[in-house]
Amino acid sequence: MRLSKRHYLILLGPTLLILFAMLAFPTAYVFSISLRDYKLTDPTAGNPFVGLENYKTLLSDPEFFSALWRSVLFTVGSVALTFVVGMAIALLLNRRDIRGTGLTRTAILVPLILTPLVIGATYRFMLDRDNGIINEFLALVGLQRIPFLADPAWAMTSVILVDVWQWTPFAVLVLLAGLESLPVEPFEAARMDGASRWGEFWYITLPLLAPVIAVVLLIRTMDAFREFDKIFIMTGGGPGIATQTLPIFLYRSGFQDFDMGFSAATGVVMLIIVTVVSSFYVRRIHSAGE
Amino acid sequence: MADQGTPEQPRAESKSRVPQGKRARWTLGRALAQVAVVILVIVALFPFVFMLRVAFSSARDYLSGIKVLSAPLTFENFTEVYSSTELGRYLFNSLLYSILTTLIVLVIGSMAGFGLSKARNALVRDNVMFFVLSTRMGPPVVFAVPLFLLMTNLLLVDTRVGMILVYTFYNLAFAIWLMYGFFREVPPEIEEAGLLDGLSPLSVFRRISLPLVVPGLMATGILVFIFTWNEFFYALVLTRDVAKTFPAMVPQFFGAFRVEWGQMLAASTMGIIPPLVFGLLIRKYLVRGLSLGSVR
Repeated sequence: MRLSKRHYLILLGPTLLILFAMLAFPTAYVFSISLRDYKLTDPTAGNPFVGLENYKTLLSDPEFFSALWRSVLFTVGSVALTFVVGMAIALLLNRRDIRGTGLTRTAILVPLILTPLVIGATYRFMLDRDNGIINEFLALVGLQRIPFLADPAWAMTSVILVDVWQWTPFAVLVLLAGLESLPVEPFEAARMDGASRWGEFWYITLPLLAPVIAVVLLIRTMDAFREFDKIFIMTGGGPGIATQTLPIFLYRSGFQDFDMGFSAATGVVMLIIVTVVSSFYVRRIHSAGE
Repeated sequence: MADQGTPEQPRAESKSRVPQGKRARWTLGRALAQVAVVILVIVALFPFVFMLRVAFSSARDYLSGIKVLSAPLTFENFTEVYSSTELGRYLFNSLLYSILTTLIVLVIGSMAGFGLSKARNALVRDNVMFFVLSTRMGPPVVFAVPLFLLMTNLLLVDTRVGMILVYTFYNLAFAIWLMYGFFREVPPEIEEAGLLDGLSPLSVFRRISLPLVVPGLMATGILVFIFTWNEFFYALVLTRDVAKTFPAMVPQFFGAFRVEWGQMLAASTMGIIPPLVFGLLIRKYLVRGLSLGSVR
């Protein structure tokens, strides 16, 4: 079916209007703000143009680089663990000889559907040093209580693990869908040739699953990089700046210090990072989806 | 384990237990796998169950360690949270935004998805799809500052209209991307037949293609509903009180010196009912939605 220009205009007009108003304009605006001294705490200053001053401040701010590093740490840690654990569980649920896999598939949807903020808040209680149920269990079996969220070294591990808890089901379900659509012939041939289970997994399953694995890694990377809700409610970026990733850093400068110019500059830098990474990623997803 | 109790059952019986039709034996590997599945379900559901348990117990009980698991049930957190906060209003706001955003996004998104699915020029189509998707990939925090200043100037901060606008933008790309995939699965012959019967292309869209993608439309709508309901960041930055949503109220339970865990989790219990019910309703489509349609 062929559509005329007029039809395209009718069908796509509202979309283009909204995306332009809500995307193109704010993007241009964020650039413009990032070049100004724009502090909401000082409304009389008139927001003068200061050129690249905000970027200079940003790039000489060790806290920015520590936030960048923590973002990378959080993203890589969460994505890698989600994938490895997710793959193991997918292989487990793909077995034909165990019961309750259908029920399990439904049960693991719960972490995906729950409001992320509620997940974070619930875990904040569960991980509490003095009253948290996890520490109560540890104490019960005679182990030391662990300050999961109060200790800088533990806090990052904890927020990563909670993210892994929430998103592993996504990896499991996508990988399972992939496993179930694999052709049987290569496996039969391998069995005839006497391949081991591990060899089968390494040389047949993994290569055949590659497009699906790509999708999991790409989508998880983008989402982990922008994760805000759970970290915000669990630690607020603390203790100190131990879990202050880029989104939290940006939020703090913009909406706690009200330094809009500086916050906008951070946003621009983040946008550049995301664009560079996602232009590669999105095309991969797109080609995998065809 | 019940399996072992009936080892000599006839074949017809065994079919229902082991899908492949052949009876598997309880090897060590299989037993471990079965245990692992049970542990998996417990780990996946424990925080949810724990939340319910705390919500329905008194402060004395939920602060007394694992005894909370066997504490008497009480509704005191619920009555307390209703009398001391505006939970009702925030839930209403969440519901209002989720429903209206879903409707708006479905109308606009299915139109755009249909249009794009018919585009012949692959280069243009892919670039538009890429642009559409990039709005979803961009972190909300990046747009927070300009959107906040824009909405401040337009006097839309802390208004319901403003939030619905933002949420429409927030979900539109996702809906287009999904609907595009659903429309591409409609057999072209059926649409061509409609044209031959004298329908205009837009009537074909309304009368033929759209009815054929109703399951996809439902799934997309429910996902948009869930995403809008669960959204926190924009609600945190762009609302104060009047337009506040359920997720945005949760931080207020965390006082500087005291956290109202019971009330917080009682409010949360109320707040997760809609996404939970709807999410389980479309579980077949959830994976497809979350992977932006790239896994069927």
